[in-house]
Amino acid sequence: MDEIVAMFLQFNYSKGQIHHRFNALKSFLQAKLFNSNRNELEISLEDKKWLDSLNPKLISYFNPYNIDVELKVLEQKLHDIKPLTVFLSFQIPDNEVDNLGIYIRQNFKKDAVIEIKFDGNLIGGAALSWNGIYKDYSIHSLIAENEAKLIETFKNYLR
Amino acid sequence: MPTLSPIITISVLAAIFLVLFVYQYMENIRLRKRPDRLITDAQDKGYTLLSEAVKKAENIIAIAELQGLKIAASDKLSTKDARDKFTKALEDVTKQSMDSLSEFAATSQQNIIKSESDFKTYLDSLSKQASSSTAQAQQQIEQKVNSLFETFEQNLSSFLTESQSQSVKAIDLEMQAARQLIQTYKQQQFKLVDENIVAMLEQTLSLVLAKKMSLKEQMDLVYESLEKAKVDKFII
Repeated sequence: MDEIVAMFLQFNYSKGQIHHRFNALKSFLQAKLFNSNRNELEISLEDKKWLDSLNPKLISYFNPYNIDVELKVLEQKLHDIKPLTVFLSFQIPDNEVDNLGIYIRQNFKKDAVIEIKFDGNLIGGAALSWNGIYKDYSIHSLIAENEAKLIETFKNYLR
Repeated sequence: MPTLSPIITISVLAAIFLVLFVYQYMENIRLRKRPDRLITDAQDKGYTLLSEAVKKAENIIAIAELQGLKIAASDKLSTKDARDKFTKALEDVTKQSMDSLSEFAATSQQNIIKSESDFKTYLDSLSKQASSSTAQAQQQIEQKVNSLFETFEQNLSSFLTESQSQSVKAIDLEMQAARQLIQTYKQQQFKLVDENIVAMLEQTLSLVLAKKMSLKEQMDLVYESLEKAKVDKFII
């Protein structure tokens, strides 16, 4: 199952993506295994591309007898993954989510899953939360660290 | 009036006897009311005494009348003598009095004239004294008034000087207090500005950067933050 999970996570980086892709996979597998018309499936072009890019081993793992159980297990495993929460000050597009996910997997954790949240106070940059620990690396924290210097600068300017 | 006194004496005696008589009569009347023999005897005695007293009184009155007539006659003679003597003496006395009165009048007139001249002299001296005193008093008053004015002027000038310095001091204090107030207010305002300037800056940046920064620039900032997290070894 871990291999399946790893295969599933290969091109899915965020919690939202995982949830969405899981549903797409579920619909696809049910249609495939129970001989439904694949053309009638309501999945997007991107999901189709992703499904086509999946490792065949993942698709063949499921059969009509184990699909329910295994999908439930897969779902549970995906649900239990602790995400790295990334707080941003703007709405990030999906392609950038992928780039961010790739960067994080390359630099932090191989199979990291990210969860994007919005925080307007950050102004720019990002804040991270992992295992209950929150750390602010945004412009907001930069201003807070240099508050005294900033005030001094303003004072000199005003005086 | 020594010739009148025997008449008075005799009259008095007669009056006394009359009174006794009346008293006895009354006593007899009172005693008559008692039916006792003693009272009757007493009454009889009383009547006897009363008749004797009446007789004696009549005798005395007769004698007194005779004496009175005698005295009156002698009085008439002595009165005439006395009148003549009195008239002569009166004339003497009158003459003496007139003489002494004219003497006294002459002396008095002289004294009056002398007193008048003395009084005039005295009045003159008084008048001189009064005028010199008036001049002195006027001079003193003038000096006093002058010194009063000088003192008043000095006091007034010192008071004005003091008032001026006090006013200046008070104004200075007020100015100092006002400056201090302004300074305090300025510091408070600057403090407020200092406290809020960072918030204002953040607000401005969040408004401006959200509109002005491109996606690439935003993502660059995000990757910078991730680089810092990597350096911090935030995710292990």
